[in-house]
Amino acid sequence: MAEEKILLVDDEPDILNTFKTLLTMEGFHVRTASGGKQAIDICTSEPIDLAIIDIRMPRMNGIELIKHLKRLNKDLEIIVLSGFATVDNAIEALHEGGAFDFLKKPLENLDEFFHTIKQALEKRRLRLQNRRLLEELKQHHDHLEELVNQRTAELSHANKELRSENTQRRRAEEALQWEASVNAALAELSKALISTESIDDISELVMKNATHLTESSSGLVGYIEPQTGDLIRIAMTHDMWDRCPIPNNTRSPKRFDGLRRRGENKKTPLLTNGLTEDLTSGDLREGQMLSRCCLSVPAMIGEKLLGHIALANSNREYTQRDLALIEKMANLYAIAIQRKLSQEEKAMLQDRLRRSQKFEAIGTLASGIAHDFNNVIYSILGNAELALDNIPKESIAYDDIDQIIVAGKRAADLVQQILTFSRQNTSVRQPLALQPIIQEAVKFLDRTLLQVIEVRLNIDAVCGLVLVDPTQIFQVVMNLCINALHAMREGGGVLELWLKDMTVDSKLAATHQDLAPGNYVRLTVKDTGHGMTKATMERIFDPFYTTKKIGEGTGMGLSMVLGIIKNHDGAITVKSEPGQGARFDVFFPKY
Amino acid sequence: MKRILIIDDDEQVRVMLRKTVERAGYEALEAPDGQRGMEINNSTPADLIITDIFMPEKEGLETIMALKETLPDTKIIAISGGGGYLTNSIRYLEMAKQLGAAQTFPKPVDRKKLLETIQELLT
Repeated sequence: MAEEKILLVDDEPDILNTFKTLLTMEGFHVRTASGGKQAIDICTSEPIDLAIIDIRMPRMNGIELIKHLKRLNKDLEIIVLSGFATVDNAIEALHEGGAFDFLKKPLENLDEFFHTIKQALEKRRLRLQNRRLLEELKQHHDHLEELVNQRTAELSHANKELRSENTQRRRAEEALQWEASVNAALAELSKALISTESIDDISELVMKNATHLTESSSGLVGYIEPQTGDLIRIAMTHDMWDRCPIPNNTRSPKRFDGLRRRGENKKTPLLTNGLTEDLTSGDLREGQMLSRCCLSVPAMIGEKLLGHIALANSNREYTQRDLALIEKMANLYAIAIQRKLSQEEKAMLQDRLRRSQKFEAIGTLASGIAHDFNNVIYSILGNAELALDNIPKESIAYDDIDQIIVAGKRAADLVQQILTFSRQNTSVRQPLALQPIIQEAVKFLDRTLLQVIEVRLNIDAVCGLVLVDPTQIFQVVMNLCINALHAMREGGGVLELWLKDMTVDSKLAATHQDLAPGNYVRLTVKDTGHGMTKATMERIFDPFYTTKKIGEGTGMGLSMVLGIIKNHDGAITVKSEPGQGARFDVFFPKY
Repeated sequence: MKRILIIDDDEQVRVMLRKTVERAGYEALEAPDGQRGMEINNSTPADLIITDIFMPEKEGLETIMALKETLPDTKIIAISGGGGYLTNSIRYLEMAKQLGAAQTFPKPVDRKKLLETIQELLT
């Protein structure tokens, strides 16, 4: 308490002295001022805690001084001294000047005087303390706020990092997802390569996946035809079909020089996200189409260009990632094309082989027929010549018999022609009716055998056409009939042939592996001969299997028949039992 | 009278040939296959044999071989109607000549040439 400094302001020196003495004795530091100006000076130069001011002073009165001092030090506590006459003024000082209390002069009670002073100081202390606490509180608050700000900043930073991490993760996830889609597409394609041989299916699959993954609205997938160098488009998006200015738009001739071609000719991929010159030039040349952006990849094996995958007009830009994907697809697609080309080559070679085998078989058959025919003709000619020996040239019969000789020689020539024809035969298939071929073949049957065998023809006059090689069908009929006759040559019998339209349903188709449901023309050859055992039936279509004696058959007949029928996409069935004859049904698909 | 044996599995050809040689002044014997022909020739040797090539039982080439083994001087004319190339008659007839046939003809055989050949061989 001794630290506190009190300023006494009174124009009466006695009062100043008395109060100073009293207060000093109480332990206060006391300063005194005789008027307002001095009081202001003191307060300006040193810290004063409490001012005790006389309300009535000359020059500057107490109320005025209070206002001044308060302006200098708002924490200054003020007690007003007042005589009786100036109580109103003192009250005014309390209200307007912010004085703490007022004391009446002369002092009547010292205790009250000190009590008031102590209270004033106490109030000041409390106020200061309050302020300091508030200050501390504020500081604390500020600190907290700073902490919060700092923490917020840290969080914000962490958040930012997290966001960036999230972005990275999202990118990684996206990359993974892309990788997964790519792998799925390539796996699907690889599987298709194994499970299907259809280049059309594989092209469509390449197309579907390539346009989907690259978000392309236009796409074209095809192979290069080795003979012409033309691009054969197998799969194409509809917009390309519609907008393509080429009349035959499955074939893109080699001379067309669009973007696709340029990439293809250099055997390198092409990736562009700019407008193509096709678009900027305004009008399209033949074989070109508009594209906003383009990704074009040749399908190659080594240096050999086999096909092409071209994509255009993606919803986004094409990337290196797209390029890598399409290159992988192109590699697989190249394998599919290579296989297709190999198979075509193989089929061609097989066809050649088949033809040469057919030649042999036809030759065998023809020579067999020729052998029998030559015997027949020889006996006709020989007998006619013998007859002629005993007939005078003037006789009417002479000329008749001479005509037999002429006809016999013609027949001998014809046999030679058949032999020649069979050697030069080339397979030409055409839509034909089978009736004339069958009737013609029956005419060629061994007439000596027909003395004991009856032939019945049940040929529907109206039958569907069949896409056939007539020479081959002739051979089929001949073979089946010759076998039938052979089976009946000991005891005679009936050879019956039927020809009729027939619809094969799934139930019937299930009974034979070569038979599919559909419309057929069916030829049936049935005999009443010795029939076959089951074991024989299982072997009759084997090459060189024969039950005939040496010189009678080569064993090629039925295997050749089967080959021909298969080549005609047909089927043959056989039913027989020993002693019960045999029945062959041949199904030719209707044209 | 010179005797000619005719071996052919085709009865009509056989009969026709018999009539042809008979009317030309020869005695004729017939056999439907090589086996029967051998038997007949053993019991009644012929001056000349006309044989077909493709026959059941004993076919022509075998027959020629067998005849030439037992009777090397037998005169043989081989005839064949085969005309194809797997069963190539030309080649078979050539083979027949190699085996000892004096002459060969494809069927149908020109009568004049046949009779001329027979006459040549039997004089």
